[in-house]
Amino acid sequence: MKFTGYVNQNTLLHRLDPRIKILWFLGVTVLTVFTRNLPALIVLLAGALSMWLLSGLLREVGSMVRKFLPLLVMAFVTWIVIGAANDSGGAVLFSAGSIQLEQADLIRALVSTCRIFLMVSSFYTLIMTTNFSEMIYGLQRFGIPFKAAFMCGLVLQIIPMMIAEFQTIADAQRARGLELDKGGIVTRIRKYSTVLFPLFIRTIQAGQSLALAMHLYQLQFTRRRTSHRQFRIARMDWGFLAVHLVLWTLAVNVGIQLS
Amino acid sequence: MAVNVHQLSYKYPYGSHPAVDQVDFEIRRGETVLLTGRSGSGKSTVGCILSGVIPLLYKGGELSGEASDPEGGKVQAGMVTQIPENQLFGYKVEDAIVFGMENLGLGKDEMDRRLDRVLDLLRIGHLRGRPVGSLSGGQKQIVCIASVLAMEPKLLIMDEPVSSLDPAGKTLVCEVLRKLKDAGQTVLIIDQNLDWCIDAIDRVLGMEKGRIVFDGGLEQLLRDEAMIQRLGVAVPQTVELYHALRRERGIPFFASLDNAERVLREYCPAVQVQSADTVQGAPENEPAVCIEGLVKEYDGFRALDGVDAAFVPGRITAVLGQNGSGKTTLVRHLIGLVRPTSGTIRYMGNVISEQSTAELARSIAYVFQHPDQMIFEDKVLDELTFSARTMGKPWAIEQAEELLQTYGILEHKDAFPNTLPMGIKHMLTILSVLLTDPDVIILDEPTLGMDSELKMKLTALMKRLAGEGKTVIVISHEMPFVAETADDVLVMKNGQVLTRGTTVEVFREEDVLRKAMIELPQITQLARRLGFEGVLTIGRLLDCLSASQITKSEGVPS
Repeated sequence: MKFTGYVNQNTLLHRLDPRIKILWFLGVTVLTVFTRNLPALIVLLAGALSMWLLSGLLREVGSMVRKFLPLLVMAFVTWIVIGAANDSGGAVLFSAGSIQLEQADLIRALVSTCRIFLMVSSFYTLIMTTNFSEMIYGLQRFGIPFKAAFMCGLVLQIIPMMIAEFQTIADAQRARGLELDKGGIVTRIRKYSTVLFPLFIRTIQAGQSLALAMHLYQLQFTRRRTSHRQFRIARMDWGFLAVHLVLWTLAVNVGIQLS
Repeated sequence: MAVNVHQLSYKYPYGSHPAVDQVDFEIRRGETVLLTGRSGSGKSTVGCILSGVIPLLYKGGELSGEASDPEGGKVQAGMVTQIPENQLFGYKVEDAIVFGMENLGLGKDEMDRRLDRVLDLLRIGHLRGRPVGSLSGGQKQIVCIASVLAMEPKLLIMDEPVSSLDPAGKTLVCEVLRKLKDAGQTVLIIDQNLDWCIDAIDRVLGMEKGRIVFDGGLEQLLRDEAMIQRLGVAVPQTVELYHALRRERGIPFFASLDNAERVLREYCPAVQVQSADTVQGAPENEPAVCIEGLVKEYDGFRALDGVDAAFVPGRITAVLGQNGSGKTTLVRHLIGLVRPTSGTIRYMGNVISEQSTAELARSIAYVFQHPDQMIFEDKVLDELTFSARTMGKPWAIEQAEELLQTYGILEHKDAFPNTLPMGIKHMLTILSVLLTDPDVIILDEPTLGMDSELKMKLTALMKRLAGEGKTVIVISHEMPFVAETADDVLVMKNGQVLTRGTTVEVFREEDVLRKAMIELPQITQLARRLGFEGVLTIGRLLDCLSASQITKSEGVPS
């Protein structure tokens, strides 16, 4: 599985209408932004986990977690350090001189880490189960102009290509004897210019190729465009949405009750 | 008539000369025409003008003259570019094919009708639901052709459509070309290589410095050695053999393998079943690189499956196989860009797993397939010396300039490397690693974008390096080049080594090569039909034919 890429399977999530998945992603994102309550976040996490389990995507999600683990650990540690440096009041878990870690600091660190994880994983779930053709269709059906929808889809198509290109160019420079990952920060930045310049050139070339291809396929954003693929929101889509509405209501309720 | 071009000229913005200069030609309906010429001759610019890319997308140049469809004014052309990945929009094959039709605003029924038509015409119905990313290079190019054909252009332009494909991909595209011809589609192929599409071409247009210098039948061009050289066209090996024999013996023309066999049997009567004793066993040198039981897995996919191999100093070893067979994964292990799941790799007897890529690069040089991924400096001379400077290895300006001089790049020494033609950029990246004096040199598809002259220089360079005791490893799909250069061959399929040995030995294993979808060079096939075993090059076949003649004249039974 490639990082940030679509996983070509036929799971429950893959079969859902792209509009429903985009709605689900927006719902989770909004709730995550506004929820700072650990039990409510745990309800959302449990919902996401059961969805991955039902779709048989645990392996892919596990792979994503491994990649994001350093970021999550860093976020957790940062919040712990900030918390320890400030007096939050409440039960003290650890104390050494002026440093004092309270229970509230630990909860705050867990909440922040959970929120980051939920935001990243919901976006990842969306792009893992919705290819860029479906994404363009879904966005268009929400009334987003084709130009903007196409650009969003194009970005999803290009990002994995650019990540792969960056890796290949870095490998090419290593093969020319450059130790990219040794030395101080300034030395490393200077060394990485040998990767960024070819990447810049390759990006321009890719942009030119895309512009050429768009011209050859007569893509004109001013002209009315038709769509070959037609999605219909089915019973399964409504069911998925209903279950999540119940879950979100529960999460909000838990959040209000235990705030 | 499908296209009528009259006094067409074009000068790029900031260009000093017209890229296309008062060009006249016509293409008749249903014709398959090849537009050929050296890099920079203006052939791709003509394609851009006919497809409307100039002046609608590439603006600011000076365009004059006329390119029209005698029946309907403007030329209705669709174009297929070199790299299908850069042209296709859509996740699945079906999405990619309908993309252009959706842009035209066609109704669903009409799109379905055209979609079914192109899938049926190109016989790719089985690919309809497949993700584009899972297709082979050849299949992607065919989907590209289908997506353009679905827009129903009167003229289909294909600009170097097979330049990024392996032999299996070239065969697929060639078959499609024949189907298009049968269906009456008018096609313009823009390519410097003629060897992949010879069966389908009706007429050839040759360009030089923006002007048409040849307009005639395919056979007319193939017979004209001077014109072939002038246009820099890569022709099938049989045609090269014909010209070599014509100069000596004045024999009738042949281009296909069947005709070559018939003519040679008739005009070289001493050709009997003989053995050309060219099998040279590998010397007993200790291998520089030794691989044992190498396994590489990615997310459960086994890219390499128990590979054993050895690369010997003083020998050129070609690693062959279709795309995805594991060739690049194998050689990337040698420089630590990929770490094995299990198995060992030894360089000069020492296991290399502990060393970083940059450390290994001091002894093992790896030149990537795409020079743009390596090139970084703003001057050719700086690019050439980049690796040596990075590694702190000694080099002298005289030495660097001599290298550039030898390989014909000195005139570009102050140029911005990215603006050079692909073949020269490739040669530059090869020379850049040579300045560090490595013991092992790995070249991944080094002939990409090179013309025949550069290829000859590269062949000589590789042989010189092997002569100096270096270990040379090359990945290439170009079988005549492999036959010309390689001492040893290693054939891979599905991450496993199918066979290895000297080139002559491996080329005898036709069943194994067929399994790996590798076709022998034309000259080896022809020699075998004539009864000569172990012939890899045109020169060697000429020697065999000469020897046969001598045998005949001296009356010694063969």
